[in-house]
Amino acid sequence: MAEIDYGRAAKYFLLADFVKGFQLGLKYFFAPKATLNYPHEKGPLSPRFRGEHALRRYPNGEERCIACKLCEAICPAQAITIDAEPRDDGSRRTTRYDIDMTKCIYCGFCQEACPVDAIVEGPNFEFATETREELFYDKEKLLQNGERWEAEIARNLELDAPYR
Amino acid sequence: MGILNTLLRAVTWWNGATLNTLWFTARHGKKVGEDEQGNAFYQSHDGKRRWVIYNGEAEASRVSADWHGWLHHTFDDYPGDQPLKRKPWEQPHQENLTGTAQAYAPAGSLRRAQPAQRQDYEAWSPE
Repeated sequence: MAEIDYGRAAKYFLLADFVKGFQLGLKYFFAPKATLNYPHEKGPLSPRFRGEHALRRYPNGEERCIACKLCEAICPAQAITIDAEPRDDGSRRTTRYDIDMTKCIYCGFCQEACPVDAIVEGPNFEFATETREELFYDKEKLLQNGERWEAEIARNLELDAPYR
Repeated sequence: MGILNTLLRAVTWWNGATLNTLWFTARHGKKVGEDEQGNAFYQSHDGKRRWVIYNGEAEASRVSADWHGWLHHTFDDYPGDQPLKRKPWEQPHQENLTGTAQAYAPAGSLRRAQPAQRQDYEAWSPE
């Protein structure tokens, strides 16, 4: 006659597996939750966070971008397209500044390359769209982003400045 | 708040806050301020959690640049305490308009009343 494993039999009849399973379930039922109540509550962001692009302006309202095309050159995804011409007052400005946000990989090289802090990646990441074409940003849209987010962009740059 | 409204709040999350969120806010929330859209901002008593109760549709992109940084724990000073500096050319906040008629349309988009003429090719026209 085969040897009977009484320990195992006891576990079997006392539903030890069930008890263990419920124990684990209860543990995580009462444990502090790692989830956030989005959209009411949102996760922490660094001042360096690289979100939606914006073209900034100088405090007097003049656009910063001087069409040096460094961002276009460094962009690993080749998402930026720039055309430039001298403006009527003789200053060199872009006539076209397009970013294809579907190509962009949000590496932040453009804002690192920019000598005048014109192109920045702002703190906004809630710009998902229903159509693809809405992500083909032009200069007007990027400047508008700058006008809407400037307060926070400036604050974030100020916070990050001591570490640069 | 009518019966329909209560029912909507109980079973949907996008019509304002859910009942559970409101209950949590009543128990743990300390009101910090309101923005110009009427969204109310709260934090827990120990200051570790920050959240917003939207005035109307619970649309995450309705948080303006003023409160965005505070809500995301980027910095601790909030506009009621220390308003961010404003420049005259800045524009008011706008939520994400995708899916509406006012959504952004690039130059060549068919959704524009007058799509920009393409210049990277010459269209063929019959004799």
